[in-house]
Formats: sequence, C-alpha cells, structure tokens
Amino acid sequence: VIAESKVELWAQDRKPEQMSRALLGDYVDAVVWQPAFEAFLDACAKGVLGPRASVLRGLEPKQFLPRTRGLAMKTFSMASKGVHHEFVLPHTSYYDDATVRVLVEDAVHTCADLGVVASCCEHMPFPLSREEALTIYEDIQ
Amino acid sequence: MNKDDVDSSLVLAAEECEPSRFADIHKFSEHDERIIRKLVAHGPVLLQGGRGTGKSALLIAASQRLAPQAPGADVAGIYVSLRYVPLLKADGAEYERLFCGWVSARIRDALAKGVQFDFLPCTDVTEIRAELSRLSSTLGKRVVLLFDDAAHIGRETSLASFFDLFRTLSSDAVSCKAAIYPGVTEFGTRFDVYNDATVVDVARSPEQPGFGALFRSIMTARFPEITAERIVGMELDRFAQFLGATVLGNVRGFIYACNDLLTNVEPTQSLGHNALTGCLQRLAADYYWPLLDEVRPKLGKYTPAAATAHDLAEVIFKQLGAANHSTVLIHRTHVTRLGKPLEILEYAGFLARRQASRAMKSGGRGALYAVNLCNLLERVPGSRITASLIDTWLASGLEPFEIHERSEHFKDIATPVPSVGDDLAIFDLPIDTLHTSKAYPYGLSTLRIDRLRAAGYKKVRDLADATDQQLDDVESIGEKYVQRIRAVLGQAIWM
Repeated sequence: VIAESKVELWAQDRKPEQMSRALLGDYVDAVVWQPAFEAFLDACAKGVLGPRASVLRGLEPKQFLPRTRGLAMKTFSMASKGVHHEFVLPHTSYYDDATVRVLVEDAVHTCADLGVVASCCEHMPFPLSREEALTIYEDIQ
Repeated sequence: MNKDDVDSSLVLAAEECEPSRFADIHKFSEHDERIIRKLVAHGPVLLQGGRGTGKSALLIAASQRLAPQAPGADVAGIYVSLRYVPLLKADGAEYERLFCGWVSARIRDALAKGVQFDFLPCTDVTEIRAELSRLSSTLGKRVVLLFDDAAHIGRETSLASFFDLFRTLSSDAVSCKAAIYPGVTEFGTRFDVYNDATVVDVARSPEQPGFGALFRSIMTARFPEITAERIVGMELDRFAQFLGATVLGNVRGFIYACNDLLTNVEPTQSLGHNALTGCLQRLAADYYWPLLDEVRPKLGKYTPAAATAHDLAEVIFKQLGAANHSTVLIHRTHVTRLGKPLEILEYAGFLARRQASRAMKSGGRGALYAVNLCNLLERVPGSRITASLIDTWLASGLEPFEIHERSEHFKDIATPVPSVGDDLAIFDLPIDTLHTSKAYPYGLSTLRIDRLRAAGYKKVRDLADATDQQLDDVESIGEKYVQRIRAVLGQAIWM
C-alpha cells in the first residue's frame, strides 16, 4: 500500500516496473490523488461543509496524500501496541480513554478522507456522485 | 464589566490568566473539545494557529484535565511555556542545555503543586528523558508535555534544535504537543512534519458548526453586560456571530471588540448598527493597523516583509471594499511571490486562508482568503454597518473577488528580500517603545518608564534580562507593576 518515496518520479532511466502501483505511493499520488483532490476542493467550494472539510481545504493538492499517509501510519503504529514485543507499559497507561477515542476517530476520518477524495477521481469505476459522497462525508463528521 | 479585565492584559492572553478564573472565562466549541482530546491522547501533535486564535487556551485546558491539576486523571500533563529569551538565539548543544534546564525547572514547579516527586534539574536530553521515564513509572501514568510558544515566524535559528528535541522526547511514556505559528516551515532535517506529528489547525470559520454558539458563550461568560435587551436590530446569537466573523473567528480580537463596545457605548445606550459601526472602525484604526507596527520588530530577517504586508493589505481592502466582497481568491503565482507578507497578514488577523487551492474563473488556481470586516468597512462606500451589509457578509457560498495571474493590482508591490541575519530588532529598541499606545494598550506609564530609565534600563533587552527582584528594586515599581512589565514584555517580544 505504501511504497518507498522517490526523489525524482519521472527520471528518464526509470523502468516501468520500478514505478510502484502502491495505492498510497508517490506515483499513484501524482496520477490519481492530486487531480482527485483538486476536484474535491472545487466541489467543496460549491457547498458548505463542516470542520473536517475545513481541515482538508487548508491543504495543497501535494500535501493531501503525504499527510494522510502519515496519519494512517501513525494510527496503525499506535493502535498495534501489544502486538509487538516493545509493549512494556500497562494497557491502562497507554490505551487510556482519550487515546482510544482519538485513534478510532483518526481511523474513521482517514478512511473518510480517502473515500471522499477517491469519489472525485475521474478514473474510479463505480464512484458515488460527488454530491452524494460529500453528503455522506459530512454525516461522518 | 470586570475592572480587572479592562486594566490588564490578562483578558487577552490565556497564558497570563489566573488559573482559578480560567474555566469561568474560557469556553470551547465541540471542535475545540476534539482538539483538546488530541492534546490529552497519546501521540505528538503540533497545534497551528495565528495570534489570538486560542492555542494557549487549548493547551492550558488540556493540562487542567490531567494530573496533577486533575488528581484523578489517568494521564499526567504539564504545560510548559517556552517564553525564555535565551532560547531564541541558541541552537545545537547550547539550545539543548538551555531547553532541558528550563523545561526541567518548569516540570519541577508544576509537580510541586500536587505530586511528591523530586524532578532533578537536567542539562541534556538523555537526563531529561531518564527523569520523565522515572516520573511516568513512579506515577504509573503516561506524561504529556504541552509546549507553548514553541516556534515563531522569523525565528528560525532554534527551530531545528527544538523539533529534534520534540521528536527525541516523544516515546511510549511521553507524549509531546507544541503550539506553533503559521509560516513555520523549517523543521530541521530529522523532523518529518507528516510522519513525526499530527498538525492540527486552530482556525475558526463562520462556516463551521457551532461558530455562533461559541462566540455567544464567550460573550455571556465574559461580558454579561451585553444582553439581548440591549441589542437592537438582531438577535443576540446573530450579534455574537457577526462580531466573531468581523475578527475572522479570532478570540483575542473578539474580546477586544466586546471590551471596545462596553468602553465606548454608554450602559444606557443600545447596541445596534451604529454601535457596531463605531466598534469596527475603532478596531481597524486602533487594533489592526497598530498590530502591523507591533509585529515589525519581531520578524527577524523577515522585517522588510512587514512594509510589503502593509501595502498588500491596502490594495486588497481597497479592491474588496469597492466590490463589496469579503473573500478574495489570489492566483498562486502571487501567493508564491508574496508568501511571507501574506503570512504576516494572516498572523495579524487581516486575512484568514480558507482554502489552499481553488479553480479560478479567470484560469489557473489560487488560494482563497477571507478578510477581517473591520478593515473592510473602512473601504466600503459610506463605511457604515447596515442590515443588508451584515446579510451579505454572513452569507455563505458567495463568489469571491478574483486577483488573477495577470492582474495589475499587485504590480507595484515588490517582492520583499529577507535581511541579512535574523536579529530581533525589538531587543534594541528603547524602553519608550513599551509606553501605553495603540500598539500597547496595556503599556507602561511615563512615570514608570522615567524611573526605569533612571535606574539604567535603556533598551527592551535590559528589561528582558532583568530579574523580578531587580525590577522590584526600582523606585515606584512594586510587585504588581513587575507583573505588568512582564506582560508588556511578553506582548513585545513574543508573538
């Protein structure tokens, strides 16, 4: 899902097999996510959305995926303590109420962010209409 | 109105507020509560927002919900203000030594109020990590460190060192949170802003649910004299919503506006369109424009950008006033060229960026900004608040005014060139700079400035370097006035 970042995406000597198809990788970002996010921002301009959309509206198209990827990785890392050997703190001090609630919120919002932006992608098969996607997104907030 | 609120800067700065009064006069929306939860929860967070948006209030509110202030909480939290002048000029090992010494002293102070734990003074990151780990084990709680005033526009020297420490201190047992200003873009080579922290924006917009309710609750809590009975021409909710929108959702600006209304309108007079007109005009003249002057000597190498920001504001408000628009879409070539002046205008509350990228009718993409309605009113024909003007300004979804790529509006505005070095000019200004004025409404009196000068304090730096006892020793200056000097210095030196 997440590929190694490349400094120069379109270097002339790069072979097609070296161009990752990872969903949250840099190539898919350039080809899919950035144009989709621009379409999402323009769709937002036509309506009034809540605080979550305000957060996304503050981002440049180039910032959307790195930010979402970082949030997804952090959420995964923090929510998987106890699976790994480094788990040395008692559950109650690491997974306190506020942390668990924020982790669940972040997981839901990350999926919602990706979902609503994906719905604005022109290459996505069977997408929701933008209006419907935005309405559902607003309900999730 | 509470007399204390008028006479001191406490009303404007959450970090100076008496802890016992904090909960009574600080109100939070549902969105704010989500941010506070993020501050309490595990994981590194950077809280980003302009001056007076409420970053400090959120950090303090989080600390008050954690041990030792909330003894029953299952997490410990300590608010640490980084308003420590030596940190501004240091970097590398020197910054680490100063930072660890300052932070360990603040933690020690905080724990002294409710926890039996001897937090030892630290001089490097290894020591402070060990002490924090020992604290966490002893308490059986995770520890949250809430750093206020951590990173400022124009003060890049120490940023890489700070973010290095922020990253190093974060662990399973320690969660770091920090308040930073928009425009902070240098995080050092070891800190990846997207992977090493979650950035949370504190900006408030009238489009957000709960915007009007938040400002009404602030008004009710702090200004009970503003009642529904005194307001004419609209409901109390709409009055609070409009006043909140005039200052772009900036809490400090809102409090200043309410104070202004109560100071300049007789208690027997109603609060209607005329009162709002006077209030907005005074805010433009006495609050916003002086703020640009106040900010200028604090910007380090970006000082030249302050003059450009002033010119830019003149052009934007002139165009928007004539067209009666409250939002402007600026083509990204201008945004890139004039990025720093635009950030300064955002910091000073002239503008608020509502959307980073939006398609323009005239082609290309631009950034969407809302403007404060006080400076806008100066440029609206007639300069008077009317019911229809309020309707127009509070309406959502209106098309913005566009400044396209080839627009002539910015042709006379040169790109500012950063100056050499990043010395903060404020330190070398004479102490007369801190005299009561529009820029420093809670500044020092002529008598006290004369006394300080006679005692050898010539420059702002001299006052900043003095201890409380040294200031207390000056004739006519007592313990209470020392606090006032500290508050004015805080406003002068910090953002």
